[in-house]
Amino acid sequence: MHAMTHAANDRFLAPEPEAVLLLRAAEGDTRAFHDLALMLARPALALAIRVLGDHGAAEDAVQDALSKLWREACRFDPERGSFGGWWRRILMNSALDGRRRLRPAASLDDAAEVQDPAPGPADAAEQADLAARVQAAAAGLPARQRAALSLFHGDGLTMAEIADALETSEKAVEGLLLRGRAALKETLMGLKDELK
Amino acid sequence: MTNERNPDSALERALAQWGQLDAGDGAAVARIVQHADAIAATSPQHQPALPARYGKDRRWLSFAMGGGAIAASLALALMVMPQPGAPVGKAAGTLMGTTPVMPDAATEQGAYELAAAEREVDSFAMLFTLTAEEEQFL
Repeated sequence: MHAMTHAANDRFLAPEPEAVLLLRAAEGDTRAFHDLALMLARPALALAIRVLGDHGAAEDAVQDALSKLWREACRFDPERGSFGGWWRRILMNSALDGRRRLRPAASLDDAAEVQDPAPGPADAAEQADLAARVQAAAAGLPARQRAALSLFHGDGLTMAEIADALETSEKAVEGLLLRGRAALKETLMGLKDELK
Repeated sequence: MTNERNPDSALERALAQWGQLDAGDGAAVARIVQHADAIAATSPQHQPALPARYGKDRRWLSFAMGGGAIAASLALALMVMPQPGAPVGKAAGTLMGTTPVMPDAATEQGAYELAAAEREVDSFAMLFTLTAEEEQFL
C-alpha cells in the first residue's frame, strides 16, 4: 500500500515520489508514467477487488483510473493536496461507477470451500479462507459501505482520508463503517465458529 | 467511532484478513501496466503541467471574451436598427450606410415591380386600418 498510505501532511516533508513521476508524465514523459503505473497497479487492484468483489471488473476499474490519471495529469496541483488523496478519488470514482455492478466472486457456501491455491501452513489457508468468507459476505453490502470498510481495514486510512476519497463528510464515513460492520457481523453470524 | 478499531475482536480479525487480500495476480498487474503504456503512447500530452495559479492568471481571459461578445452583439443591434427619420417601408431593415435600390419606373418591368411594392405597402397598411363596417361596429 505504498502509494495509498501517504498521510496528507507528508507532502510538507518531502515530495511524494508518485507526485514527481506524475509531474513528469504531465510533460509527456511516458517512461515516468510507466513507472508510476507499476507503483500503483498492484495496491489499486487489491483495493478495487475488495470494493467490487470481481477480478475482471476490478482490473477494468484500475485501467480506467490510470487512463484518467494520464489524461488529467496536467491538472494535478501538489499545492492543493497529496497525490495519494487525488489518486484515491480517481480510483474510487472509477470503481464506484454505476456501470460496474458487484458480481460476487463466490457465495458464502462456495467461499467455505475456498482453499489457498498454494500449499502452505494450515493457518495461512485458514486466513485465506476467512478473508474469502468476508469478501463473499461483503458482496451483499452497498458499494460505498464496502469502499469505506476496505479503505479503513485494508489501507488503514483515517476518517478524513476516507471522506476525501469518497468525496463525503467524516460523519457520513462513520455511518458507512458502522452500518457496514453491523451488516457484516450479522451475515457472518452463521460462521461464528470460523470467527472465534 | 474515530480512528479507533472496534473491540469486537473476531470481526476485527476477519476484516483484517480481508483487508490484507492481495491482488496476487501478476498477469492482471502486467495487463494494467501494458494498458497504461498503450494509453500514454496513443494519446500524447498536449498541455503543459498547470502552474499552481493557473486559474487566477487566466481569469481575465474569460472576462475579456465575454465583454467582446457583448460589444459585438450591441454593434450588430445598432447596425440593423432603422435610422431615425428614415421613410417607413423603404429604409426599414436596411443596413446603415447603404441605399435601398428602388425599381426604375421608366421601364415596363420597373413599373410593374414598383406597383407590386406599393401594393405590398398598401396591403400591409390595410391590416391596421379599420373598414367602414368595423368602425360602425365599434
